[in-house]
Amino acid sequence: MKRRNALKNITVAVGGSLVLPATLFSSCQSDDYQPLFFTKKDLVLLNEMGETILPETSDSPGAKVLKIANFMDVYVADCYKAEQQKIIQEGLIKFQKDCQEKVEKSFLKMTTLEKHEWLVVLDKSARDSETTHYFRLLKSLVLLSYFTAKDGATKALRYLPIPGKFEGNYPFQQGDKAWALG
Amino acid sequence: MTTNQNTEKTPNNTFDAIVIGSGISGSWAAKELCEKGLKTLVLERGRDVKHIGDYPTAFSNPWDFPHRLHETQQMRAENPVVSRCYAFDESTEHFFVKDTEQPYIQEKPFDWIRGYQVGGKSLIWARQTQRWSKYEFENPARDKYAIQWPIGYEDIADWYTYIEKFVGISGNKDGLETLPDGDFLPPWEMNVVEREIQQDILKKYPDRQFIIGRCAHLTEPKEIHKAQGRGQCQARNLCYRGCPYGAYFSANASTLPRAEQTGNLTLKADSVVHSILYDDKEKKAVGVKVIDRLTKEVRHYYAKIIFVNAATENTNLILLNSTSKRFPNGLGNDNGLLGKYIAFHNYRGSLTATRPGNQDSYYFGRRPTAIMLPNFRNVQEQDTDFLGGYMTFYTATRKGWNREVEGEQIGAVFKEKISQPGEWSVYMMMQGETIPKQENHIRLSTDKVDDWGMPQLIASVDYDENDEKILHDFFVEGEAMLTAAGCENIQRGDSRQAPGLDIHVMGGVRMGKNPKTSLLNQWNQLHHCPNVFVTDGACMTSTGVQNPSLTYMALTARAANYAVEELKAGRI
Repeated sequence: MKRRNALKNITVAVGGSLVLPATLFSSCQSDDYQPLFFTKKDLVLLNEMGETILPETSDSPGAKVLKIANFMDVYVADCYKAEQQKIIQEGLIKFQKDCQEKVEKSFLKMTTLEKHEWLVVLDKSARDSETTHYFRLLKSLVLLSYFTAKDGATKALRYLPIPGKFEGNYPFQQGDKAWALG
Repeated sequence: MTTNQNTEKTPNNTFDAIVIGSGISGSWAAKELCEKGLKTLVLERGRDVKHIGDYPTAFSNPWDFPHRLHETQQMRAENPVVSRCYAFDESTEHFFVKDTEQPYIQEKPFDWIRGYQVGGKSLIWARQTQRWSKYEFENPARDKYAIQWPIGYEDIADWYTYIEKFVGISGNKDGLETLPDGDFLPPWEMNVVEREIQQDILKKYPDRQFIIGRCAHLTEPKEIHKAQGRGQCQARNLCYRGCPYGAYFSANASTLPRAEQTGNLTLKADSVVHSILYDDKEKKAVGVKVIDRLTKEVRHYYAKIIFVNAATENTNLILLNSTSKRFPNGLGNDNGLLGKYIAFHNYRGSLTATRPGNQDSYYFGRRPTAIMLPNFRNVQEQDTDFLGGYMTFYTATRKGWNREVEGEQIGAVFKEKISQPGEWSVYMMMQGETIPKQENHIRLSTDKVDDWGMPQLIASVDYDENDEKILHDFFVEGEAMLTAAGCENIQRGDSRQAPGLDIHVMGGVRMGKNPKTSLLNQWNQLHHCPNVFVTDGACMTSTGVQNPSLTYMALTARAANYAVEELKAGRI
């Protein structure tokens, strides 16, 4: 909460504009990020889950190195409705319990393969669920946080801030990445 | 208080012309009047916004914003109305009026979207610029759903050309009677799928020719645009933040600097117009009463002619608030119709679909326009069970990472798949005419005032059965056209959005031949106070189906040039 007020004050100071100095955001990317909604331990867990969903590959970084949990935290704190926050909060507790019961170790202690297999199972049950499953929300937060981050948008996608022109028939070959801006 | 100094006529507060509002139409009035040598005062209620210098987010990346352009709960709670506007987000909110800034009364749900700043909503408009055809001018009276327009297409055609040359309109000469061609810069391209859809629809419906959109973007700037300091559109599609290239038309980039160059312009921001001053002895308007937005100080300004371009709702509000012995019910309002016959555009319907194939084709850049179909209903004659018509728009794009994919849902293969573009999706929407009706109106509150002591606006505007019929017709015809074009998974969407959110609110001070049924004549002069001109959306007799700004600009330039002639001849 404090951080948000600080942001607000700075916006006022620069005349109501919402462009904030870049230095302000670098703090979000560093380890001293102070979460608004999750705990610091949650952030470690979410970054690991993110890495399992979107791992490092030959041409682009994984979710963990982008610290995607920091923006997930901002988004849940500020953009989620209370009922969605509740689903996430209860979901994380259930997730950790299920890790112990079904895989018999904490998520962080699982091997890469175990993490992958466990999230595949979880994803399937989330997809089959008739109510809003916490993992469905978490996964969409991971994707959002990753693909809208600088490295996600510029490395996993093609980011073109100033195209300069429009072409309606631009060749596409299998493997070419999507544009980051729609 | 220094009331006397501020309100008495002195050389310092006296001009040839006053223009109320600095947006799309007001800035055109200013340019024309200044170029013709009139000392012109432009009054803007909001803050100053300088071209380029005051576009703080123009080059920001999505990740530069705290919520990466997503709406927060706080934003929605504090601004339930303006946050519904498609162009409002973290990158643009400084160009919109927050809900709390100026309260108004919704007798029926009404989303009043405002841009109080120099340049007004010309900074945040959607920039689509189609000419009206003769059908929009003639059909409302033919089919008896509006009074007769006092002008026809032939009266405004040359003014359209005049505006198009200066503004810079990209478009293709399509030769359609229902959407006349203009003086165009090179058109944008359709992408491969959009072209295929166009051809498929034309095969089944030879009278439904979709065309590339016409918009106020410099696809190839000419000398007249370079002289304004404007450059080529970079296909960024970040227009609502203000364009640092001056590539789309805004008052800030184009008409206001031109007016300033003449040396005849005085622009005063933070000046809330309270009312127009009418002199019972001189039998004409003599000036305006202004309240300083920041200090609340009252000032008067004087001029021979006054243009009211405050945007439809505020233009109505100012005229209704301009009472005198001669006009106890608002300036020029002898027939009691001021504020009535408000109409708007019906944007409720949309269709989404997917279209298989074309996996080897993509596009480059972000085009600032869509594919457009002029109205095809009730054109030559009344041939449906509803009145008026609608335009149809579509775009086709490939889906991005935020989509469902087959196969792996976790891990490297999944990541790779959603990093690539998906299947083609199609979005289709309508822009429907609504019928001007007496009961759809704007009036002043008799007991509630805003921070500047102005009576609050009461909006009482609603849809009717005709709008439901048009919506239904769009769904049926849109589905049929998309089906003919090989689309699948066609889904209907009804936004049920409140009137006002369309930002195409028109009327209240309508033009007409007969002073008994209209407020303005064929030159946009108040019938009963001919040195006051209204040339924004408030003057519209009916709404047409086109995006209206081009028509407002043409009407404004036409009226301003007439006003100068009349002034020189001593008739006003």
